[in-house]
Amino acid sequence: MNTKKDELIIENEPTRLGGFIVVLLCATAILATIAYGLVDSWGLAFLSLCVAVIVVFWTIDSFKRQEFLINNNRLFIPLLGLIFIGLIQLLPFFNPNLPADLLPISSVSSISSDPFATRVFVAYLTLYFVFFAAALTFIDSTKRITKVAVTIIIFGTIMAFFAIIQRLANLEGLYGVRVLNQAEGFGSFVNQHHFAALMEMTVSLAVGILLSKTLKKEQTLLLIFSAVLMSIAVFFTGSRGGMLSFF
Amino acid sequence: MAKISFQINSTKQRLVLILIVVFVIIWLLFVMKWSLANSMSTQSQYKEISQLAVDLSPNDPQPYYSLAALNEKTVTENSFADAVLNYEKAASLSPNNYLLWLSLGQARERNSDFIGAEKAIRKALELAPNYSELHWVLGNMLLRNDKKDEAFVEIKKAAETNSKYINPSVSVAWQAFDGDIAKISNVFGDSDAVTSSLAVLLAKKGNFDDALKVSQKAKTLNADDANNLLSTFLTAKKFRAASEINLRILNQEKSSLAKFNNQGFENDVKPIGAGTFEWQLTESAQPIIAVDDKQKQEGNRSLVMVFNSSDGKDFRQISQMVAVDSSKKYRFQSFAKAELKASSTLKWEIVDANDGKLLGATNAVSANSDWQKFEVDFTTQANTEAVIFRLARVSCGSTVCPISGKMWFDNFSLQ
Repeated sequence: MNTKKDELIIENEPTRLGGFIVVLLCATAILATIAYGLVDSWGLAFLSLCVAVIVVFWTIDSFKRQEFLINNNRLFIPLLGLIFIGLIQLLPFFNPNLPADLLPISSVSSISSDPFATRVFVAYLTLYFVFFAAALTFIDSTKRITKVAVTIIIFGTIMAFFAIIQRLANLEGLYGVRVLNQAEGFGSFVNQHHFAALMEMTVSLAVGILLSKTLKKEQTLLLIFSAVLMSIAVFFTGSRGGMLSFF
Repeated sequence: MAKISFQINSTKQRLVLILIVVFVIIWLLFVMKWSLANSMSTQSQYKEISQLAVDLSPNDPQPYYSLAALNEKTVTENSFADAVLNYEKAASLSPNNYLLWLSLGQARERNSDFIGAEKAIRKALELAPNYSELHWVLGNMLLRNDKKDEAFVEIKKAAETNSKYINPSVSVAWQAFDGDIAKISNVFGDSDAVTSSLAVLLAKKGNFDDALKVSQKAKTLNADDANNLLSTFLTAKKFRAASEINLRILNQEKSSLAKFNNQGFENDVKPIGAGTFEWQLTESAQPIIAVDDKQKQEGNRSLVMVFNSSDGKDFRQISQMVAVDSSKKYRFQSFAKAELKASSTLKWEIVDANDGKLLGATNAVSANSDWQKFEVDFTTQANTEAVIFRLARVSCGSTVCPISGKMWFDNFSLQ
C-alpha cells in the first residue's frame, strides 16, 4: 500500500458497493436508535457487528477500485485524540499496591481508575471512528446526501409519531416491554433528553431542506408536517434542555 | 469532498490492507465478545452462564461480580469461599470501585473472615467516605464482632447523614444496650429525629409512659414518627397520650384534655378523612350535615342537620372522641335548635372509648324550639382515657320513625 497521499479526489465514481455501504450506514443508525439507543452492553456487540460488515464491504470496494479511499476531514482529529488519551490511560504504569491482607491477589495496573471501562470506551470510540470515516467517505455526492437526509427525516418522523403515541397510550416501559425503574424514557430511548436531542437533529435536516426552497408544493407540505410532528415530540419529552436548545 | 487515496495495485499493498482489516475485524470480535459477556453476566441467573461470561471476558470485573453474587445464593460447601474469591478477582480488576469492596467485605464476613471483612469495608469507606450505607454496614459488622464503641461511631454517622438509618440505628442501639434509654441518648444525642424515633420504638415495645415522656423532649416530631406514635397509642387505647401526640401533629400547644375540637363549628367539618379527635361523620345519605353561617348560638356558625326520611332508618351519625381524666365527674353541655316534624327526636350519648360502656345521655331535644341548653353529668371509670360523644336517635316505639326538618347544634363544652 502506498502510504503517501497520492491525490485529492473530488467525488469518486460511485460504485454499487459504495451504495450498499451507505445503506448499511443508514440501517446501523436506524437500528441503533430502535435498539434503545445502544445503551446496553449488548448494543456494543451489535454496533461491532454492523461496523465489521461495513469494514468488509469497504475492503472489497477498495480491492475493486484498486485504491483505498478515505475522507481526510479534520473532525477525525478530536476523535483520534480521545482514542489516544484512552490508550494512554490503559498503560500499566500505576499499581494501587494493595496490602496482601486486604487483597491476596495482585490488582490491575493502569493510569485509569477503571481500566476495563476505559477499554470499553476506547472500543466505542474506534467504532464511532470507523462509522464516521465510512459515512464521510461514502456519503460523498449530493444525490447520496439527499437520500440519507430523506431517510433520516422519514425515520425521525416515524419515531416522533410512535413516541407521541406511546406517551399518549401511557404504555408502561419502552415499546410496552422494557420497564424503566430509575429513568424517564421516551420513544425508544431510556433517557428522554436523548430522544429530544435526536429529534432536534432530524428536525434540523427537515428545516434545512425546507429553507433550500427546492421542493414541490406537495413535498413542502409533507416536510412541514414532518417538522411539526418532530417538534411536537421534542415538547412531549418534557426535556427543558431539549426545548431550550430547540429554539 | 476531499479524500485521500491509497493505491493497492501490488500484492504487498494488498497484503498490508488485508492485515489492517484483519486486525480491525479481530479487534471488533474482541469488543463483541466483551460486550456479550458483560450483557450475559448482568442478566444471568445461572452460575454456568456467569462462568462462561468470565471465560469470555476475563478482564471485566462485572462477570466475576455476577458469579460471586450467584455463588452466595447457592448453598454448597464452598459457595461462600468461591464468592469471596470471585469478589476478590472483581476488586483486583477495578480497585477503585467501592461497591466491589463492600460486596467483598460482606462476603468475607459471611465466610467468617471478620478481619478481612473489616479491612475490605474500610477500603470501601476510604473510596466513598460520604456514603451512609457504608457506615451502616461497617457499624453493624463491628457490632456483630463485639466492637460496640467503634460500631456506634459508624452507626451514628450513618444516622446523621441519612435519615433512613435513624430508626434502624435506634432499634439496633435498643438491642445493644438492653433498652437503656440513657445510653441510647448518650450515643445518638438528643436531636429531635433521634428522640422521636426512640419514642416510636418505646411505644411499639409497650412502654407508653416513657414513649410519651421521650416524645415530649423533641421540639418537633417528624410526620411519620408522629403518625406512628398516634396509631400505636390508639391501638393500645392510650387515648390521653394519643391526644397529646395529636396536638403535636396539629402544632397546637393548649391541652386538649376534656376539650372539644371545633366545639362551635367555626371550622368546617370533614365528611371524610377527619382526624381521630375531630368530628366524625359516618357515610350515609341522611341527614345532610353541614356548617350553617345563618344560625348560631355563639360565634359565627353552627352545625345544621337536614332530615327528610320517611322511615328514619337511615341515620348518619356524628361523633367526637375527647380525652378525659379517669374517675372524674364531668358536665357535658351543648345548645340545640330544632324545626322538626318527628315522633321522636335525638339525644347525645356519652360512651367510654375504652369499652363502649354508656356513661350518660342527654334528654331528647325538643322537636320545635329556639336555642336551648341541654346538659348531663357523668362520671368516668377508673380506666377511662377518653369518651365518645355521639348523636343518637330516640326510639319512637315503632319500626318506622319518620323525621324531617332541620336541627342545629352549637357550642359544645365539658366542665
